[in-house]
Amino acid sequence: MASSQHFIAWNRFGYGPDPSGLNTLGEDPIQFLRNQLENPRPPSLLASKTGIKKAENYLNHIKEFGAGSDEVGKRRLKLEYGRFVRDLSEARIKSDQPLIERLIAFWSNHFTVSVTNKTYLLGLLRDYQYTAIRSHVTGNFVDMLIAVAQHPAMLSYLDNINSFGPNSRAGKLTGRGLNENLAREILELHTMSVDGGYSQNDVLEFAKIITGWSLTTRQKQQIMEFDFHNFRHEPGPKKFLGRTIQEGGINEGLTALRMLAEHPATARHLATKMAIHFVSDDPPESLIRKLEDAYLQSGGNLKAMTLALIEAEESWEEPLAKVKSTPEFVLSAYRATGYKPSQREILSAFKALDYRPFRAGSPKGFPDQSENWATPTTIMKRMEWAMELSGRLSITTNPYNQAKELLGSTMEDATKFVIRGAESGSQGIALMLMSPEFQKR
Amino acid sequence: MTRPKTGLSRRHFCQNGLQMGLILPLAFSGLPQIAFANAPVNKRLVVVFLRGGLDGLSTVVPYGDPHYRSMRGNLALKENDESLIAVSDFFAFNSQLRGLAGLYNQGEVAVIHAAASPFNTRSHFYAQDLLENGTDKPNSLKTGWLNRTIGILGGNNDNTLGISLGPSQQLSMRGEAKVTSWSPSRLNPVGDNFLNRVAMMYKNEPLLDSALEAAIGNRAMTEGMKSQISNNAGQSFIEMMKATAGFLKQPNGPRIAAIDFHGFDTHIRQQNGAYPTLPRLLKSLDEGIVQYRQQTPIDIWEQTVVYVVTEFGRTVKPNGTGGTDHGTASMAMVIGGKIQGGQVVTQWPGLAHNRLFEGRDLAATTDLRSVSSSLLHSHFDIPRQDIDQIILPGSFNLNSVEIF
Repeated sequence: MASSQHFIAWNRFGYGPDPSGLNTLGEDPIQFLRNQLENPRPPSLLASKTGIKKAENYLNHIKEFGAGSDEVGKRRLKLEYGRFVRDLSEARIKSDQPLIERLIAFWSNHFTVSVTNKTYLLGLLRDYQYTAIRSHVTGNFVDMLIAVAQHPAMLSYLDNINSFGPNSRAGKLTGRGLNENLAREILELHTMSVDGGYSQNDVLEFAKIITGWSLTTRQKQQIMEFDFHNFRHEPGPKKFLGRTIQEGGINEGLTALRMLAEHPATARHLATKMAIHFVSDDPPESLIRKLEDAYLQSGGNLKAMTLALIEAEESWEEPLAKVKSTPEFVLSAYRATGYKPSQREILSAFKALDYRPFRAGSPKGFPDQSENWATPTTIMKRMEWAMELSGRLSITTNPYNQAKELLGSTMEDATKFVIRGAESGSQGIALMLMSPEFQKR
Repeated sequence: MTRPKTGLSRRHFCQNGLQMGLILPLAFSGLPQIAFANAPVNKRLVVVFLRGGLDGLSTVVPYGDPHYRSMRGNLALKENDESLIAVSDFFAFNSQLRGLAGLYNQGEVAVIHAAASPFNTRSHFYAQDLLENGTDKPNSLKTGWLNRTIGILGGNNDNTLGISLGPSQQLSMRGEAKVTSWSPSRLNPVGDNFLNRVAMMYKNEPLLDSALEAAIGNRAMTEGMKSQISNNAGQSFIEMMKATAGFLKQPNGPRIAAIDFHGFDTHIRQQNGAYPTLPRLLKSLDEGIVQYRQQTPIDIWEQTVVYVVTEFGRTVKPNGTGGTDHGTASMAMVIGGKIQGGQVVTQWPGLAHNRLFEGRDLAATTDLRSVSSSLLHSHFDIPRQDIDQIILPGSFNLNSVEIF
């Protein structure tokens, strides 16, 4: 029978096994994960600029006619959103590199972009996910950070496109000034974290440093792209984190982002967050230290950091340390049952379980702690959904045998007892999906 | 007040079920009562959070301020076109708030105007955090003021005094005291048979077990409740308020509810144009509160306070897109059967340009925490010391607001 290490490799570092069970990863769970990091294949999900074109058209309409007037454009964007969520979900359900998919989900949530109230962002999500996040999950953090900070989705979401140096040419002309939003969130959420040791003045200076980081509209291609607008950029030297950054246009921002990526507070923040996301709500200090060291010693390399994570013994204890988030639960349920959901089914599953992809309430993203995913209303809805899903399956195997394949030695006596006593095949599968061993990872 | 326990507790039942090797609890009909027993509190509190930053100046309108019309420009509401319901020679309710204006005249609504949190950076993120954690610094506490209130009132594992309405639990409700949560489901309900089987698997899983136990408790309370699911924020607020009334009127149900209403960040087309945002939101707010009152028996309504808050106000002058940007002071509303309503409590700062905060916002003259603090003290009889040290740290020197 598969070991608890197999269970952990699939669930803590993936979206669970498919119906063939835990053993398919081979003898060595750590090697299974290591291989994924060594050979991350080009993602099957192709980047598409079409969404961006649609977003651009929509944005122009807003400028011209006021928001919401272009109902057709809005509808097109919603369709694109639906397809994107489907593509992403299918990639995760089918992937044979589940660790890579989980890393993408983790970093994408770290650098949250939420489309709430900014409909045109719907068309940018695919490109954002592809170019800014996906390409860098086994690369260097600084490259991801720069790609994110220069992506139209993030620049729009956190309002840097509306930030003007008060003493820049454009600022003086229009009387417009700084918008600190992006600068603040990069410091607080993406890098050093709120206790990382920066001051209010650092926020202000950093906001000045990235004035002019905005978008260009190349009318011919109708594509939104990053562009640096010097006429919006605040002139003069800036004092950031105790260092003077001389006037240097776009290079000021690049220098500041590199300083942030190298900062020990960033290493600490990322290490803590990763340990909490993957391993435990209250991770041991020794684990955080290992991730932190790997980050610092490798010059901020995320492959090195992930390797440290999967090689740490702390990562292989307590197979049921955390309650799965809703997307983890839904996608792992589709994987486990082998059910092939349609686009409509995927979207309505998320909706029914109150998970709204790319619509997090704040730039903090979706929460990582179990308490957020094990609320009374969530548990009730998971039960309802588990019943609905299992009702749609054609069940050919005994649910208990299936549970043994999927849960292995982790399965507790109470769970065995209950699944064995199920009154029907579909109830048995629903019970398996609701078992602690399936709800947790 | 004590209540005899009816039936076996579910935990008890499940343990026996397993130990005795009973096949499965098929014969067991109906779910056991969930213990909301011995509720030490009869008073009710519903906190409605208008998220996004309510434009207080368009909600309860200072039409008597000599600068109102000139400063508000195209957002100014006019007395003569029935867009205002005057309640004094200075203030008028937005005409979408017909129900609330009526309750105001009956003395069941008090307005606290020019109120704000003590620390404002005009960031939603910080301002909401601050209002919910109950301190004067964002991110300084990870638990919420309502949860800590529940702790003081004696809420514990056997006595769930708090309910969080909506898909995610608000920060205000997070913390050590156990609270339940509920939102309407789009899915078919599951039978007791299935629930009981799941419960048996959770007996050694405290987190899942307690969530399930609370969910079962909700089921008992929502029996017969019909909640329409709506994608429209206003409609779903109304439905949630009706559900809240259903929960809070249960003799052993929760006493403190937190409910969110999203969409008040009116940067564009706030008041005018084809599909303005604020009138629709205010109409739903009005309807939600009127429905809540209608569905609450009068003796319970007399024990109830509905407290309507928002994270900040909006700029006095309209922006370039027919809306308003993030500002400072807004207003709060207190509604209830026994409050000293029919008044707008304010030290009105004035709308003249030189009276505005940083030349753009309605200045704050009342710390919102003084309203919360007075509410806790007068409505729930919580000692000032507990309020100052535990629930709203550092609020001791705030003036009390005499409306409870």
